[in-house]
Amino acid sequence: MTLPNDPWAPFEPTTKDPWDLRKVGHLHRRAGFGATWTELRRDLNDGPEASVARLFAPTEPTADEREALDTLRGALNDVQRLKAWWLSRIVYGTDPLREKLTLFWHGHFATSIRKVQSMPRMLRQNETFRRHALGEFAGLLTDMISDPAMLVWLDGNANYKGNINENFGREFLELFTLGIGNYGEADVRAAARSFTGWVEVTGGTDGAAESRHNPAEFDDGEKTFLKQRGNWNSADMVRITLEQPACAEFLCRKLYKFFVSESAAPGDDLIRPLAERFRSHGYSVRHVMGILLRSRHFYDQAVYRQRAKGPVEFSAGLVRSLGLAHGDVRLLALAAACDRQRQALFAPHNVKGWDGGRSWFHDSVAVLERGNWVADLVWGNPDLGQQPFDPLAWAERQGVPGGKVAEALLDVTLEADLSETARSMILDAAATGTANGLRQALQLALHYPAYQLA
Amino acid sequence: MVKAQVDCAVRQLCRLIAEGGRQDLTDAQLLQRFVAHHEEAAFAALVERHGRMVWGVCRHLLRHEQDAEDVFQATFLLLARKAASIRKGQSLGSWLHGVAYRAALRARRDVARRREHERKAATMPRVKAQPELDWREVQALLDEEVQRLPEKYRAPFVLCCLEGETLATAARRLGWKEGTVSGRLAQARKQLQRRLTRRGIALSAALCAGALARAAAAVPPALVGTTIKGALRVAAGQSLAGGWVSANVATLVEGVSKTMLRTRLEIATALLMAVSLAVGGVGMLTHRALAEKPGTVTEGLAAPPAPPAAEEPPRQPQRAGPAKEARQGKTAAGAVPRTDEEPMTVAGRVLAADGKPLAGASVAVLRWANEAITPEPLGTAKADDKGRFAIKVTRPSPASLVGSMEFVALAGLANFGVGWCALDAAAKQHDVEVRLAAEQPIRGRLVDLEGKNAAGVQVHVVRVGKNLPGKPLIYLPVGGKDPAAWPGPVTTDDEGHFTLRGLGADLATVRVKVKDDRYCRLTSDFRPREKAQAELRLLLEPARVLEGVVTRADTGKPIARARVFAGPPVNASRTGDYFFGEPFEDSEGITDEEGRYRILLPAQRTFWVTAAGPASDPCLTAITGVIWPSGKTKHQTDLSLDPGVLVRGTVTEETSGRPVAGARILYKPLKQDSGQSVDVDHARNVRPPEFVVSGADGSFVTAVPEGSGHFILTGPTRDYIYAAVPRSRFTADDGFGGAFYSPERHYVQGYVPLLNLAAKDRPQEVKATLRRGVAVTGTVIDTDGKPAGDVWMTSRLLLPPPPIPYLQPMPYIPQPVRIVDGRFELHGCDPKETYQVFFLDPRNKLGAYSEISVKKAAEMPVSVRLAPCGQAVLRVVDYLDRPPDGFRGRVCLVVTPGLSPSVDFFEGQAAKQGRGWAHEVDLFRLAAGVPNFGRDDQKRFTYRYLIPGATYRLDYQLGQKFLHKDFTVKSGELLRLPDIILPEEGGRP
Repeated sequence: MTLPNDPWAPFEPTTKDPWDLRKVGHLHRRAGFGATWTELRRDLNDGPEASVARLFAPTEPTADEREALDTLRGALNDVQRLKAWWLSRIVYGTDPLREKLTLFWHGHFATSIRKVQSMPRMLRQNETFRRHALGEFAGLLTDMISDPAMLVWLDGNANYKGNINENFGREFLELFTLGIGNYGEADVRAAARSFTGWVEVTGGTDGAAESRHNPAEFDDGEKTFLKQRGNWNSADMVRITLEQPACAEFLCRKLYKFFVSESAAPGDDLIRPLAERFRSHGYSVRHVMGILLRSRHFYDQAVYRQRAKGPVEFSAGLVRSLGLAHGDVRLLALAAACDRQRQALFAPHNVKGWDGGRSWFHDSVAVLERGNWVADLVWGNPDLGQQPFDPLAWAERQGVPGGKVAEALLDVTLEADLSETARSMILDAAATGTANGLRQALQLALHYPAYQLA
Repeated sequence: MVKAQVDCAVRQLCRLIAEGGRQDLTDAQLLQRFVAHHEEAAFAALVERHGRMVWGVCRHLLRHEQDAEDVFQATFLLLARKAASIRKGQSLGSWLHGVAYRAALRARRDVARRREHERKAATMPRVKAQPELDWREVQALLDEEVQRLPEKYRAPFVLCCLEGETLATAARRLGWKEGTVSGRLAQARKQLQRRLTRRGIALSAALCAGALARAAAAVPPALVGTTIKGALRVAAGQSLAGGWVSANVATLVEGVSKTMLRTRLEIATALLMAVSLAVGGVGMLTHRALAEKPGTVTEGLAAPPAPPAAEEPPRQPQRAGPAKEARQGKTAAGAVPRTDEEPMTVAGRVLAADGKPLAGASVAVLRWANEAITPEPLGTAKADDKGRFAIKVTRPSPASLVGSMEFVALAGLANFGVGWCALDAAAKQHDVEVRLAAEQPIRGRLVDLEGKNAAGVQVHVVRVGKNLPGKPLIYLPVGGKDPAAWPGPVTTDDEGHFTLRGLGADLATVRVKVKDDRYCRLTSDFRPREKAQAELRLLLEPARVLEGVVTRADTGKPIARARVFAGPPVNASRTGDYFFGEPFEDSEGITDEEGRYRILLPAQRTFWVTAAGPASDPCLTAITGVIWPSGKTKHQTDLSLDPGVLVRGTVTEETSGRPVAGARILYKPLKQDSGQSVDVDHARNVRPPEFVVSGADGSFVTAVPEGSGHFILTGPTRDYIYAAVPRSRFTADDGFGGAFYSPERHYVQGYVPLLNLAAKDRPQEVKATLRRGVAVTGTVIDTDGKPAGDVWMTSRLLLPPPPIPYLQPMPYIPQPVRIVDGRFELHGCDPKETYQVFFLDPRNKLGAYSEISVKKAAEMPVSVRLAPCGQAVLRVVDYLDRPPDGFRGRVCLVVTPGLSPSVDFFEGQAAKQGRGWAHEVDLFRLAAGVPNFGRDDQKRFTYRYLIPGATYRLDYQLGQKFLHKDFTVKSGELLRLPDIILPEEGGRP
């Protein structure tokens, strides 16, 4: 049922516009955190459909991996370990699309531990994002209304009958569902009243975060919300809000910005068809992401490298694409590097999350820190307990043919898409074929401007 | 009847919570309802609202649940009593926090006194600090700082941060605008943050709403019921003396109630509490500092360790107990006869749980000296075919300075869990039975933070605990070289798996430790029963290495063999001085020739690092704070040591002039502004070396800060005379404040009085002498003339050795010593003196008081005959001859005459010069736990097992006055003390 000029129609490779390394790399950078040289080769070979399908059907982690992760989860005694736990999933996990969406939802429902001040609450919220990452949006939204971290973050626990606190109600409409211009002040108030009664419960035997609904604190009076009148509660808020076409459009615009392009605001002609399908499929994120990642538009030259890598994408992505093994990178050092590049996980800047785009480069220290992380990883840093990257061992692990190591490194970092001058400069550096020469080449490649872009 | 009332209260509470109705009422409204109608539900709502916070305060300050329960009850009973008089507009949360805090401090002081006795009684099992103590200490400090906040900041802080209420609820409760609450809350946090940071604690997370409330444990439901019931009785005008609350609770209610009434007393009490807090805090610290250091294990008894070589780094007091220091000293001296140890034989059998003898079992005898957590293995053996073993070891002689000593016989065998039994430290012969439970292997796995299996890592069992019927948990920690009987360390396989053997299912708790230079140190506690099925999984973090260079501040040259160690910033005293938590385990390093050190740290964010110069190159000890940079595994911190003033000295015996080896020499600088003794000069972040030990020729070298200070000396054994030295020889302060326990005289074996030192080219020379006393031996015989079997003796000769650092306010309370075979020894006696010595056999109700003239004792053997004890009865009534409401009294044995520390302090007598405090020993303590005090009815108290002829002192309060009355009883006498009639206002404060 796709129109001939439907931008969301699936991409079909042609001789003029083939399925090439650039497209494979693009898919992995956007849908996940980059791919290893082996994965790039495999997907180049298998074609777009198989590559995308694989992202939606990840393999299960091994029992060993799961156990290691659970052990870390069981020993979360400070926020750096919490970050390490998530980064471990990002770097080593088998489900990068889900992790990428978890990061997206973390920015969307931006909640900071600076106010929440509780690791169990932040952990629970993060696991809720992950659980619903590809599910129906209604489920995630419903859980966010009673999420313990959110109740603290936007004062939901101070919002009760007779003492309406509009913070959550306002952000619910402005930032989470409809966007400015699609609701009025009265709707904010009605929403806030409908969300009353949720309280964050302190205590619990294992310190787990919980919330419960206290009917005594719930304002069950009549409200008019988005022109509908009734004794609405939070479930009604979700239902009525999701009925609004504006909601699907708002979310699709955010998904577009995160997964497709930051450089130009998409027109209605692009967003409306996508939003309609999102809404008609019960706000299934899996469905809309499937359309998006398969679409002609997604592989269009116009959106290629049109996003700035965030610090987590940049720093963790580098680790993942080099296919480093457990122990080859210090996760606490990685977490600290992201912090210094101004993306502290679990502590977004404000309620709007991270601004993204050029804003990552406004802070010169943050830019410098990107270079530092590259240097730490490539050359090692004893202060971080970080061993130097071993390009020869890497080549052997990835099955790179001898003498082609520098080229393979360019494939994996820049999909070999760089100016001739730069290319020859980098290959010159690696000409000796020694580990240090290759490290130098890799560092140069990572400093190539395009590497800062996703 | 009681049960019905509790049930009723709980029912009402449930209803109240279910209705949620009263949640809308303010505290003031609830209180008003309670005052007007004695409405139980209203009070229950208040307990529900504030109980968790109050319980938190109680638990932070009091280690034992029972004590905490007493304070909890007392706090709410006070609320019930004062309900009508609480100022309108005052925040109840804040009021309750204050009351609970004060009551807990008071209880802590009482408890400390009481527990001291129990602990020192040799047969009592050890009660160890609970694992969460560190956090609890921090919380206690926080509670203390909260009390110092102005009310307008305290109220919102208590509500939001300690009780976990939201801003909105707090605003409703306080009747303020939400903005006001949040503004003042921010101010409160800021102030606390500043103060706590000053005290070395980074608590930003804890200061945020809910964090502390979450950390608070739930109040035991039964306690809530009892408390509400009690409140109703108080409201109904019932006296606390009715026996329906425990004596402790009644005492607390009265005590705190009075301090709330009287301004003058309030100040005095606050001061008193401040002191007791400092004592408690420091005592605990010192104790733990002594305790947790590993490495006191020696190879066995036959070969005492060699004396420290001149080039060795200075010995840390924690490294070795005084006994060992003393031994080292004597070995070096050679000339001084060794008198601090005597032989002991431990024989017995090792049996399986079913009573079968276990041949081939390994047995070891361990001892703990002076509350060290790490025991010393004394000797080992293997059980024969009949499971029998015999081990010859040594125990401290009466001349030893060792304050307390505990022994166990430990046994282990393949396929059995480790077992042990406690030995009576006073007995020379033992015949014991050690039973071993069946083994329960524990499977576990180590994974590192990067998700890698930790292969080839050693896991050590460092502590096990058992729940014995009727006794608290016993910990048996072992470090260093473990005896064969102890479960050996295991190494993880390639997948990080390990299996611990030698642990029985009967153990209540096990502590394991991972010690591997690739990872941060990790200790973990678990219950074997819970791990029978599930695997024990532990996470290892990459090692954190601290490196740096230690140099001399004057020349900039590196210092070789300096000792560097790190520890957590934990504690502070009320005088504003910082104290430091015990060093992290295994975080000790020695600098190389270039002054470089390298130490491993646990995964902690903030800590202090200390560097101490070697004995050959004495310098002041430098201290610096470090915040670990996140993500790093290595960090550099350089320290430069101030040379201070070099002091050379000698220690000799006064008359003979012979050098004394093995004497401990401590220096205590004075704070320039206050004239008080301090540990750390915070302006310069330095401290003197902790102590030095005199060498074979009696000489010592040390460095001290410029300015005033003094030395204090302790001989290697009790053979040196303890002299009473006026406080004015040491300090320039007013003898008030921190010196509550000893304003007028210190008991020391030697000293160098107040010096004023300035750095010079030449070292300063000091000479110190110790006066050697004589030993007096004697026998105690019972009424039949036979050697008495089990007697407790005390005298001022049995004062504990000065703690390290010694000038922390310390109670000069003589230690009761147990005599098992009728023979007693007293060491360090002044030949010119006559000593008062007290003997009590509480089981046979016999006692004796003897004035032993040392001169006469040299001529004729001393024999003390026990005689039947006397009793005293005291009748206390109020002005209408009713049972007293909240009478507070205490009887103790006066070992040395003097002022009463617990009474005269309040009456301002402390300022009177020339009079020292009495040495008092609590009745209960002397009786080694045998109940010797009772309340016959509501008006009569009986004090039993009083030593004939000894002076006893009754401390009590009459109205607003603190009084004491001294009395003696004759053998077999039932003494009626004059009635105490409480005046009208005292009956009902």
